[in-house]
Amino acid sequence: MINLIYNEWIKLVRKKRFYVVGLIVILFIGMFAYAQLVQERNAEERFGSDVAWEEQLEEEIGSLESRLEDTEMPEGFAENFAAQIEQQRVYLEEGVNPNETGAAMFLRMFLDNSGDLFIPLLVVVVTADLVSSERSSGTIKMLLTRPVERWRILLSKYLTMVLSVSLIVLFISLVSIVIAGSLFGFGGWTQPIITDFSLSSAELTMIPHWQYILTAAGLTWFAAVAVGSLTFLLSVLLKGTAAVMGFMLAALISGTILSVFVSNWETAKYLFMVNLNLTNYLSGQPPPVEGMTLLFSIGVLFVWGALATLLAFRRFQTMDML
Amino acid sequence: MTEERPVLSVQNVSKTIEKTPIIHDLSFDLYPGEVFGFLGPNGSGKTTTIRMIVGLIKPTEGAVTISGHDVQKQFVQAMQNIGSIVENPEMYDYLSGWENLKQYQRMIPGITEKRMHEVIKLVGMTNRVHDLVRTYSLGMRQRLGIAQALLNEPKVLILDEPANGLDPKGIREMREFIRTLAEEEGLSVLVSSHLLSEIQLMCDRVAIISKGRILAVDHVDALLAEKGRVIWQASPAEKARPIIAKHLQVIETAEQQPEAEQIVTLDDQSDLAIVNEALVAAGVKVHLIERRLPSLEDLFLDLTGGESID
Ligand SMILES: Nc1ncnc2c1ncn2[C@@H]1O[C@H](COP(=O)(O)OP(=O)(O)O)[C@@H](O)[C@H]1O
Ligand SMILES: [Mg+2]
Repeated sequence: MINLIYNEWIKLVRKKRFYVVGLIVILFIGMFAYAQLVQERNAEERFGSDVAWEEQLEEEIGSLESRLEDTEMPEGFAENFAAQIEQQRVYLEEGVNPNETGAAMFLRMFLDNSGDLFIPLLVVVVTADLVSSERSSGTIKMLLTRPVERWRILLSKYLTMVLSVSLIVLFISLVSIVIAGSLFGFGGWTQPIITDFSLSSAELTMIPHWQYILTAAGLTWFAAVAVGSLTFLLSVLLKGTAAVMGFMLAALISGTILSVFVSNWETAKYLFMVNLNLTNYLSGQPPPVEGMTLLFSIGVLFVWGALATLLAFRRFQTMDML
Repeated sequence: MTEERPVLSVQNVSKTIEKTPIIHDLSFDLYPGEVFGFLGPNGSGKTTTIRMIVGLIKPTEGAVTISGHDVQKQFVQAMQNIGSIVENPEMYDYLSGWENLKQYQRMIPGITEKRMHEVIKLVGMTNRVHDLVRTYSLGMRQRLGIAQALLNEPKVLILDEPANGLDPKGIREMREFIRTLAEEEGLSVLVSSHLLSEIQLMCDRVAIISKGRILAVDHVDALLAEKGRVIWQASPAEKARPIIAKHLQVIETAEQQPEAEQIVTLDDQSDLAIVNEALVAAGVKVHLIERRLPSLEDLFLDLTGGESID
């Protein structure tokens, strides 16, 4: 099995797809970090560097509140705002500066915002052609006429997908730390942050950043593997890599749009694409559909991913390779 | 030869794809050390049959065994004994020839790098094996294809239209190479082709396939001898024809011109002098009597009732 995975790995690396993904990650994180830097400068200009963070925070809360009162916004947006204001209040009471900058904060923010679209997109790009390209190029004939059972070959490809997902999450974390670290400093790992697991009670708890980041990375990884499994199934079913990508991209993007507008459509919560943003449950933002919980979303993703994987293996085992 | 156990046995195999029957009840055996021709026009089902032999598609009915192992039930053991190129030798063209072989070497337990060097040398690829496959000519891809097929020291080698896209020199080399493999290494080789000249020159036995059915399986010589012809040239032809027809079966061939004085009959090995005497007695002038072995083209036309090869 190690040999088979090594084979897949070589194909992945030599096709240069991985480098493209790496480049995209660096570019995006670079942009994100730059935006952060600009924002920080603006804040400094506005308040002057000697104004205490407490005052800044109070002012921010005030401006959020007035925006919430003055503007008409969809229900989901309003809830979001309310949740943010609530959090800022708690920070103020607890004496924790939520806007302190550092590698840890940056990484946390990036993970919070990339789990539902950015990382899944990268996963799709890497996974889409894992099986379909072998079929469209005809190399599948060489691959499947070896003294190796079909399911082993498919398993090696599946594990390669899981490995790629892990590397993508790891690489994003490393790049974030390096880029943000060199701009804002490498600290902040023990700085407390509010989290809202919504598991036990409505109570907000504080945990150190490193703990939050590990949890967020784990959840993001899980969602990405689910997306990878679905992409994998399509890669088995469809011969064209472009078709696989098109299908998955459409699903993912519709998911982010749906998440905003879906609050009244109850059954939409069973769609995998509105459940991808698992980190939302950590940061305490309201879910797309009321009543969705972290466990619910994990369950939905698990069922989708497991069914897709099962189907992919069953189909591949008996499929005619024409 | 026929006392030996077949290394490849195709038994009553049928295949229906999307409700269309493509292969009908196909059976044939391959024995150790023979080159077996699989001859049929494009679309006759050669590739489909080969895909079933190597387990890429599942027969709707029937079974294929390789060295006694059922391809569907004992896939791994069956594949240990076979090497193949199905249609074109598709490789990972972003890898070098060596890296391609290395992929397959890693998949098969017990294959050493020494074996890789052996097959590379055997197909004469030593100089270019570290170049990217993208830069290879079709002939070189074909060689690399054969190298990967031979990697696991198979008992059966399957080549699907190996002459496709090769120039006459390449075809001749390929032919000699295949004969060498069979004679010196004892390999059984199944070669499919729509080119009769190919099959005729290198195969011990051939199966003739058309529209998914086997029309004949036999030794090349036997097939040819059985379908021997006698060519008669006599005038006036109208007068000669009924007399000849009394003794031998007259065949209407596709290329026969109405005005020609040529009459073609089957050769049943009977004494032609008797027919000749009868003709002469009737006052027919006999210009030519010739016994002729048919080409496979003639044979095919005969077997398929006029459907042409290309
Ligand atoms: N994927 C497919 N779906 C349906 N029919 C097919 C498919 N592939 C081949 N066929 C049909 O099967 C027949 C045999 O094709 P093939 O085995 O490729 O012939 P050959 O290799 O002798 O040229 C053809 O009539 C072709 O139309
Ligand atoms: Mg063919």
